[in-house]
Amino acid sequence: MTSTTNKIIIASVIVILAIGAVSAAAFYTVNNQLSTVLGQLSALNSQISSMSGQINSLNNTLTGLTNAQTEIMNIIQTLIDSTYPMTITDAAGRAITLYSAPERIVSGAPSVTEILFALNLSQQVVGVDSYSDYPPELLSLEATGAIQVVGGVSTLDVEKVAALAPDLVIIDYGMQGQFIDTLSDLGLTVIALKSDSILVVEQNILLLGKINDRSSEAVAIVGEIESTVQSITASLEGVNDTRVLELMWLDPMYTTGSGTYLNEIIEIAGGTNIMADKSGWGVTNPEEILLKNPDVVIFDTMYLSMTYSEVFGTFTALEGFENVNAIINGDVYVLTNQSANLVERAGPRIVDAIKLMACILHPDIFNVTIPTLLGDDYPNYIR
Amino acid sequence: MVETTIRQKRYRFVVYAAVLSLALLSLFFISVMIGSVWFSPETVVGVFFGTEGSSTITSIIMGYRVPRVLFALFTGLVLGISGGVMQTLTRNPLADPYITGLASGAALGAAVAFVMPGIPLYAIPIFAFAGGILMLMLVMFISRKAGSGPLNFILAGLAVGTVASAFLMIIITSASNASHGILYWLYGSFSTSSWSDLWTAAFIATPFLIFMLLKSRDLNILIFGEDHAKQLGINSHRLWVALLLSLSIAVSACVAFCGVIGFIGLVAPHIMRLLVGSDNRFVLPLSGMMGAILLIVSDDIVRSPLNPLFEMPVGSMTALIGVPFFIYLLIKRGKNFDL
Repeated sequence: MTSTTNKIIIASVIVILAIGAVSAAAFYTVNNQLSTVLGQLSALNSQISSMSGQINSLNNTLTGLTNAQTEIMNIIQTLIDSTYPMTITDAAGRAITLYSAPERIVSGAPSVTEILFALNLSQQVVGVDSYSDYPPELLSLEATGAIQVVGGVSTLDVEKVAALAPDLVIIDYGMQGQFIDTLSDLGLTVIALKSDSILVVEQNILLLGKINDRSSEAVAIVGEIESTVQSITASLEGVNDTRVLELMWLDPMYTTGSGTYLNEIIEIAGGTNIMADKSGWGVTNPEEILLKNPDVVIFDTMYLSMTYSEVFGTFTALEGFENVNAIINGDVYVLTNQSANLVERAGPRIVDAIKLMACILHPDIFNVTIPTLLGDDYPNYIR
Repeated sequence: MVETTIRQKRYRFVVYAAVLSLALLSLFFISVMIGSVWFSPETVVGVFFGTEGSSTITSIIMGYRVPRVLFALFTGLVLGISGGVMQTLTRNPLADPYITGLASGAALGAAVAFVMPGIPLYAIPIFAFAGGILMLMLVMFISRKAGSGPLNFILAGLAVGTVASAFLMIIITSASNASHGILYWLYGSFSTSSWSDLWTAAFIATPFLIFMLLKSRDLNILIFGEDHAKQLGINSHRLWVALLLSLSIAVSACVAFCGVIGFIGLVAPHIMRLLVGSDNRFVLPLSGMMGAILLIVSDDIVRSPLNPLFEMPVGSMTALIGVPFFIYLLIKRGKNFDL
């Protein structure tokens, strides 16, 4: 063999070996990458399938939401739809059918009267109870005789009501439930309303709007209540609650626990009712107040029979009360006349009640100085 | 029934008196522990001996709990003794201290104070007291015109009491804001009892209470009628009037502060009669103690921290506590019951 041939053979072998090695290395690398890619692909695949599952469930949620929306729209529609004849259910669970918008309405309670006037129904109201005293327009209509007084709340004069020939009588279920049968027996259409929470008040407003063809007004009022609750809640975000004692009578000390309309207002306005461990309304004692140490005391009374300093004096005279925060800081507030009506009546002025309560409990947040004795002048101090 | 000798009766009285006194003493101590929060016996002892550090706890125990429990004790004492006296005076087992229309009179007085403008809260007891006493005067005047006698007296009390209740209802329904106050007052409660209430009531009532106890022997004789009393040298009419006035003033003094608390005056004397017989010398002091025990226990339940509701009227508890005990005694020993 010639050396040239040998050289060519050796060179060829080297080249082949080199190509083999390179291709082996290349194959190995590619193979490796391929398996990685394959793994990634399968991971992608499973992600896609899980995403499609999510999309599916999203789709379902959306359908559900659309259904719920239709349902809500239907509920709202029935809440505000004023087509006659209509049949509604009142707080006593009675089904009442109305054939046209009422034209002569008698209101048995101040909260009802205030809702009717807020719904621009002053021309339809022909009779009210003797406690109804708001808005001022009511008083002038009473003076001209356009609106008659038909007795007290629990002493409603049924004959006077009947004599006015109303086509609708609206009463408070809690205080006037006993009149439902008597009034119905006289052939009158009677609707009884409850008033134990803000939600119930909103429902009352919508119901009275619906039956009187005033739904747009009703929706506006309820909207204002809701936006007030939201804005007050937002303003008080992160602010510590003020501990409140609410009294409606001083001796014995009559107060509210949890589960009442007033308790709800206190909580929305950034307060903790110190008596919330009890439920409903009832009598407490000085010892309990001393132990629970309120930051603010609010005494609301329709007619104040003493001076502010006498009210304050009844607290300072009590043993140990010099250590109560509300007494130390002078945060004893007396609400009387329209201020008291504001927090006691479950009507459309709930907006002002929440605002006033929030200003009393957090004057620094709302940048206002509240006098310790408030009467009809409360609108000046609402922020 | 074997005739029990006076010595046996006296022995039984001493035993009952000792037992009831002990019960009252321990009840007083336990009651001071009970309230919006429980205080341990150590805390209470600490407060009594002035070694308690917290001024709030001292204020609560010495400022509110002790006067409240003592006022319940004193009122129970007055109602129990007065009930026993009234039942004997009228020879009527259904009589209670309020039979003269005193309760409705006091309530009417309080109601007038609530309605009239410019009358401060602290004046309400004065009006209630005056209302009760005025009602009694009226009843005595009418029954005298009718020729005296327990029956005329009871009927006059019924009539005048009904009229007072009617006026009360008129005020409650026509007075707008005050009606709340009147109703709360009518519930009857020790929730705001203070030392000054206790001292005032005790200052007025104690002399009359002692007078009634001193006259308990003469009261035994009144049971047998005027003739019998006269033979024993007792001016029965004068005694009758004096006792009636005494019990009414004592009861009015308490009612003026805590409102009308029913049932104690009716049932406490009966319980003790079932246990020790009808001798007023034994019945009256024991009725007082039994009345105090029933009223303290009732008030303890009303203000117990276990109670998830607000304070109930103490009067509703007195019946719940007293009646079962009374019925038990009635069934057990009713055979030898006598006024």
